[in-house]
Amino acid sequence: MVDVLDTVRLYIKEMVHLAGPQMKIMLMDKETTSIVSCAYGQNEMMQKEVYIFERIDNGIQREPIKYLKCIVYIRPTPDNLHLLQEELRNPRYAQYYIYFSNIVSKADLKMLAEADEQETVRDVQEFFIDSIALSANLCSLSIARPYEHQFGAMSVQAHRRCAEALISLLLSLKKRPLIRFQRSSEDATKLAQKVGEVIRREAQLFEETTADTMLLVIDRFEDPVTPLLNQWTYEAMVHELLTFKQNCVTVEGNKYVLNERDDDFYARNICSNFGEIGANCKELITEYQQKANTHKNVESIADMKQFVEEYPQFKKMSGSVSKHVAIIGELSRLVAAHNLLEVSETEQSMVVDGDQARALERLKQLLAHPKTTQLDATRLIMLYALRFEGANAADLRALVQKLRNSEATEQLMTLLKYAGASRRRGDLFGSANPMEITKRFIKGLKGVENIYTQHVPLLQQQLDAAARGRLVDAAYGMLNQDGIPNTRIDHIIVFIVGGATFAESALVRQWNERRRAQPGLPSVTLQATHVHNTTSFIEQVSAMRQ
Amino acid sequence: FKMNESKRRELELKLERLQGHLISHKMVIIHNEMDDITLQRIELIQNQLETSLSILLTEVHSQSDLRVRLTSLKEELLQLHARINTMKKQRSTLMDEQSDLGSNIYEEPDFSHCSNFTPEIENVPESQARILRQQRGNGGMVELAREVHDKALVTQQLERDIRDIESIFHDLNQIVQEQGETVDSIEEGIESAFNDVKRGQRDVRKAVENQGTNTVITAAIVGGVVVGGPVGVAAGSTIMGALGALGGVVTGLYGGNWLNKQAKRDAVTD
Repeated sequence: MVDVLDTVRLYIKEMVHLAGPQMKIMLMDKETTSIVSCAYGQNEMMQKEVYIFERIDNGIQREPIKYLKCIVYIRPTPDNLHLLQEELRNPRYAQYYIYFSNIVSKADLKMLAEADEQETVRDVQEFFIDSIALSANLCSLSIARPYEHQFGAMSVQAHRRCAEALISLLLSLKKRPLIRFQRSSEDATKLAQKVGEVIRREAQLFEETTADTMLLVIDRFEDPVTPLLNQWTYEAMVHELLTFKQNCVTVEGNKYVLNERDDDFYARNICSNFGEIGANCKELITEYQQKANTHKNVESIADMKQFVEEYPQFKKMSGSVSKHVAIIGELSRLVAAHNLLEVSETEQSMVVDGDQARALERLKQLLAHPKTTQLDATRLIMLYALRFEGANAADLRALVQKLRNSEATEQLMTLLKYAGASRRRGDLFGSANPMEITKRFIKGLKGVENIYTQHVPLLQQQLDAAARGRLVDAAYGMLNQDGIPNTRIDHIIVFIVGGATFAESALVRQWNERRRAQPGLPSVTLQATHVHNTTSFIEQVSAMRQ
Repeated sequence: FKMNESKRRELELKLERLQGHLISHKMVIIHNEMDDITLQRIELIQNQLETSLSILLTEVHSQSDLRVRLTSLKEELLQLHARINTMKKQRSTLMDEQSDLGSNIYEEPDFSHCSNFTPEIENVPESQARILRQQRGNGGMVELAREVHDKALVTQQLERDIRDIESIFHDLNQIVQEQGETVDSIEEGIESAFNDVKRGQRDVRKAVENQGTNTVITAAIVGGVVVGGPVGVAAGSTIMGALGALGGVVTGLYGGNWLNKQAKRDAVTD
C-alpha cells in the first residue's frame, strides 16, 4: 500500500536522524515549510531536537547561533540556491545538512561547494519530497492559480513545477510508470511528455524503480461539476465552508490544526457525512463529560494518582472536544444560515436527474430566497449552465440577470469556454452511455440512499476504466510503454491539472479501502495542482479571463 | 454552595434538637412516662428532618460525594423511622400485656449507660425482653443521632479539603490549557514569528525616529520572543526553558544591536 504522507514523514525523520544529536534548526522555503508542516507538528519535531524553524526566503535577518546544527530542506530553485550560497559564505550555524526536494544539477552543486569556504557543510542529498502530502493518498502543489497568463494553458512556471513534483513523487515511491494522458488537454499532454522525457534522461535515477504503476494525467475541465457542489463529508465540508490552509482552519479567530495522525475523532470521521458527525460528536462530548465527572471527584490519594496519570490523555481529549465542537458548531450554523440542505438537494438532483423544468423552477425559488448566498447562487447557475448547456438560452439569461452581478456573466462565459461541452470529451452526465442510463434508471426505481450525496465524481469512471485496462486510446494517449513489461498494474497515480477536490480524495480513500477486500485492485494516489473548494475553483476559472 | 452551607447548618441544628429530644425521651421511658404524644413528637421531628434532607439532596446533585453522604444520612434516618414504628407496635402490644400482668416491670434493669448496656435477654420473661429491646432501640437512636452529627462535622471538613484540592487542579488545568492553546503547526509558528519581527522592526524604526534610548530593549524583547519562544516551549522541560530564555536574551540583545543599526540605516535612507 502506497502512503505518501508516511513516505514524507520517513524522509523528514531521516533528515533529522542524519544530522545527529544536539540542538538543531531547520531552514526551509515557503513550499517545503508547508510540506514539513503537514507531516509533523511542531511539538513532534521538537522532540527530535529541532527547536527552531526558519524560512530561508522571507528576508528576515536570522541571528547567528553557533551551537546549532542546521538542517536545510529546500526546493532547488535558482533563488533558493542563491540564498543558500549566501548563507554558506557567512554561516550562522555550526554545521549544515543540506537536503534538496528534487534533482540538483552538477553545476549548482559546484557553485554551492565553492560558497562553502568555511567548510560547514556536512551532508548534501536529494530527498525526493516535492509536494505537500495532505493524507495517505493525496498530495497537492498548492498552486491556486496555474493559469494566470494564458487561457486554457498553464503558465510556464506552473508547468515546470508540476513536472518536478511528479518526477519527485515517482522517485520517492520508486516507480517507473506507464504514462497515460488525456489527449484533449494540452496541459496534460505536455506534462506527460515532459515526465516521460525526464524519465528517459535520468535513467540512472530510475534504475531501481519498479514498473507496476500507471501515471494518469487528466485535466480538471473534464469534470467542472465536482468542485462546484456543496459537500457533506467532514473534510470536504470544512474546506468548502471554512477553507483549509494546508491542514489549518480558522474558526472565529481561533486556529485549529486538523490531522489524522493524532486526532482520533478526525481520523474516524474524515469521510463521515454531516449527520453522522453530529451524532459522533455528541458521543464524544458524553464520553468527555463522564471523564470530566470522574475527575471532579478527587477524594483519595488513589484518585489523585489516577487523575495525574490520566490527565494528559484527558487534556488532549478536552482540546479535541473543544476543537471539534467549535468546528462542527460553525458548520451547522452555516448550513442553517445559508439554507444549504435545500441548495444542496437542488444541486444534486439537477446534476444527477437532469430534469430541466424542475431544476429551473427550484432555481428560481432559491435565487429569490433571502438565505441564498451570492456564492450558492453563482454555483447553482453555473451547474445549471453546464448541465443544460445548449438548451434554452433565454432561461439562463433570465437566471443570470437575477444575480445582479456584472461579473457573474463573465465568470459563466469563462467557465463554459474552459469546461463547456465543446471542450469536454468524456461523458460527464452519463447521458451518452446506455449502461449509465440503465444504472440511473435502476437507481431511480430503488430510490436514492442520500439525496445530498448522489453525485459521484467523474474520477470514479476514469479509475474503473484505468484499473480494467479499458482507457480508450483515442481519449487517453500512451507514453513510455516499455515502463510496463508484462506485470499487472498495481498502482495508479492520478495527476489532475487544474486541481482536485476533497470529494475526489474521499473517493480515492474508499477505493483504497476496497482494495483490502479485493487484493487485485490497484491502489490509487492522487496528486493535483491544488485542492479546491468552490470559491477557489471559481477564482481559478475567473483568472483565465483574457 | 453557600446555600448548601446554611442548609447544612439548619440540618445540624435539627439533628441536635432531635438528639436533645431523644435524650429526654430516654429519661421519659426510664421513668415510664412515655405516652403517645411524645412518640408523635418524635415522629414529627423525624419527618421534618427527612424533608430538609431531601431538599438538600436535590440541591447538591452536582457534588456527588456530598450526595453519597447525604443519602446515607437519609437511610439512617429511615432506619430510625422504622425503629420508631416497631416501638409503637411493641408499645401497643405491651399495653395489652401490661393490663394482664398488672405489675410494674419498668423499674427492674439499670439503664444508666445505654451504650454499654448488654442485657441477658434469655433470662428475662418474654414481655420484659421486648421492653429491653425497645429501650435499647432508643439508646441506639441517641447513638445514631450523635454519629450523624459527628459525620456531618467530618463531612464538612472533608468538603473543605476537597474544595481546596479542586481549586488546585483547576489552576493546574488552566495553566496547561493556556499552554495547549498554541497551534501545533510549524508553518503558523514561522508566520507568527515573521509578523512579530516585522512589528518589532516597525517599533524599532519608530523608536529611532523618536530618538528613543530604549531601542535595544524593545529589540531584545522581540528577539526573546522569536528565539526564546519556541525553544522555551520545547517539551516543557524547565532546563530547556531556561536555556531558551537565555538564548533569547543573548541573541535578542545582539539582535537589538543589529536592528538598531539596520533601523538607523533605514531611517537615513527614508
